[in-house]
Amino acid sequence: MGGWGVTSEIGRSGPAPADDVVLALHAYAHALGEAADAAAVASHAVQTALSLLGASGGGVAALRSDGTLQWIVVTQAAQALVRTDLDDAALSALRDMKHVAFTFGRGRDADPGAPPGGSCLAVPLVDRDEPLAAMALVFPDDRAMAAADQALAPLIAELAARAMARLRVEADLVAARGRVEDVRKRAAILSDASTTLVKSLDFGTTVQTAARLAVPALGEWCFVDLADGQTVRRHAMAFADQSNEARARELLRQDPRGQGTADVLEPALVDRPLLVDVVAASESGRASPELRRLADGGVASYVKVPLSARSEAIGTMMFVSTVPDRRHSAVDLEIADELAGRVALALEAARLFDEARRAVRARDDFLTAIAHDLTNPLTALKLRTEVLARRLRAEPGTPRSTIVSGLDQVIGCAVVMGRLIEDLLDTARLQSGRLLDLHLERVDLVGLVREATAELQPLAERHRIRLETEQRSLRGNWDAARVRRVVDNLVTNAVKYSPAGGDIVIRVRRERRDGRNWAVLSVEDHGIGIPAGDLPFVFDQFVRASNAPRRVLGGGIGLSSVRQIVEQHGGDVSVQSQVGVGSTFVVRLPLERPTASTPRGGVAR
Amino acid sequence: MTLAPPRGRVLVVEDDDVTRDLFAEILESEGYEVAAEPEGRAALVRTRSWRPDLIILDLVMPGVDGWYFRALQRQIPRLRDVPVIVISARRPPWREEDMLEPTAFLAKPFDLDAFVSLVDRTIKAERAASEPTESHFEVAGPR
Repeated sequence: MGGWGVTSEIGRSGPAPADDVVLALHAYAHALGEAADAAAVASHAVQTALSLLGASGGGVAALRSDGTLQWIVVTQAAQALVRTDLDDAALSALRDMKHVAFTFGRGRDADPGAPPGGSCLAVPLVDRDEPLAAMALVFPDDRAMAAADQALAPLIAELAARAMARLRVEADLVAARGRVEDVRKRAAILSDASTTLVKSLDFGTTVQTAARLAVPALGEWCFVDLADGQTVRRHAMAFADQSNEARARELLRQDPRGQGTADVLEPALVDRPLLVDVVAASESGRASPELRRLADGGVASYVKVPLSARSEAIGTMMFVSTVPDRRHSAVDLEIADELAGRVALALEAARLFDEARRAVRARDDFLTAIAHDLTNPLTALKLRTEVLARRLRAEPGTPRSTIVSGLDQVIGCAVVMGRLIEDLLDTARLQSGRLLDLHLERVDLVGLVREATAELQPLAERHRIRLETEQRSLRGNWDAARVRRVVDNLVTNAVKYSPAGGDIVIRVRRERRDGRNWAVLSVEDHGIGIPAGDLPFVFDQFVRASNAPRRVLGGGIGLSSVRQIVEQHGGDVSVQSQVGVGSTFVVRLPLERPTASTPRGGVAR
Repeated sequence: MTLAPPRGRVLVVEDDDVTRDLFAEILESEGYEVAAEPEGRAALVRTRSWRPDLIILDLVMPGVDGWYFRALQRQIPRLRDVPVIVISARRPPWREEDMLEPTAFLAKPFDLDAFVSLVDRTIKAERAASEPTESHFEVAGPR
């Protein structure tokens, strides 16, 4: 377009003297440099055009995306021509990317309200071949035609176009800087979160840390809520300062769940990130009473983001902003969501660590219990052997019966130890999540119990172990060695918990229940009994009553082993007991081949 | 008033039948007079008519266990100063609240000789002190 050389031509047809034109253009260029927005640029352009070209009015219009014009500036005198000649001129200039001039007003005499005739000149504002807007000027006469001939109007337009382009670049820069700022903020919060979250593997500490991570960066309040089975509980809160905490607690106190006022602050799960601008909502007048209460309580905006682990919602993080100028943006929501992702990972890691630690502790307890249980028979075995050896050395004529009974005790100890090791192996197998390999065969329970009674009696001299049954035999498909361990464990247990001695009665009978036939084995002692409060737990592994942690070590794994074996056979075990009277353990084993309860691969190889 | 047997009286409190009988057999063959009970309550009843010179105490027992027995024993004047050898698979250190403070400790399993000589030394030390005063703590047996 035209350069500064055009000034020489102005004197010929323009209304302003050349010096004034130069001064006016200088002032115009300077004003454009200061212009803060497109409206200011347009206004300067029109004013300059009016004074330099002698137009009576005019305006600047931008093209909307739908092809219609949006008038940025229109002078009073040109208002009447908007939508008619002014629009025609501007659209034509924008379409052709060059100035256009025409006269109008002829043939409008019939309408007394119509504006007087005149001429119109429109020039496009073009930046790098892109039409940004058009400036249209109205003249009371046909001066537009003359003005069109000179380069002053395009010059004004070009300067305006450059200014608009500059503004656009600046706006882009501001936006970019904002994005950079957002990225920086995001990186700062998230990297801080990552380093902080890895410092602890303790679940409780991690939850507390998570709540403090982004306060006040993402809000003045932060709540961490976690699903606890069916309910959602608040596990941690963090506040930017005491006054914020007081405000939050006041709102929470006023609005207990169910009152329908500020339930948004109560623990709840969300399935996707949620951003609510409380201020904007209440200013729009469409806010619910609840949001208005929040606004009154000082809440400017809030975001809620889900905490998910293994694609399952495990909780929610909520950030509340109480500063109207720092209401949450879409970017804040993104940051909060990403933060929640990291927090969820950390919580999951802490949970797994916790589980692992508990498993290790259980294993330690298990090993301690096993070591303890093995120690007694080992001690007896060792001493008995030493005593026997010493006696044989000292008295060559030791009676044969002494030797035999001593060796019987040694064998008894070895049998006990063997059973403990079998229990240990089964327990270890079950602990690693595998089921027992049952070796099912035809077994006669009566014969098995009779044999067990005979072998256990020598180890319990103060007790009389009796079998009472009307069955001559009772056969089922069971794992003989394991059923024998069930009997051994129950009898040993009965001996152990009846220190005063007495009868231990084993009963075997047949029963029909639930349409099935069962073999029922019961072991009754007259010992110290089991307190009612402990009864539900006697079959659990290494139960540690919190009031007597040291007492249970001798309990070992016998009874839990009994339950595992019986249940895997498709049966069940129960106990009745009265303190000071005694206990009766009852085992039911199915007489038919177990079906549903038989685990895959659990049958004999 | 009965004359104490030459080597002294030993009360064994141990729940495992085989082990308890072995302790009794060994100590009797060493010349001690022995009473053996499977838990603490029966043992306390026994001491009403039979004051031991030494108590051999298991810890994990049904009924009145070793900790409970020890706590009761320290409250009873006639038993307070009787030395106690704790025999258990559970080794020291015990926690403070256990309040066991035995004269000696022997960890299961142990050697016959270690057992016999610890009993002998403990009773001799007890005899040597004309008046029963301070107890000494000793840990013997394999670790």
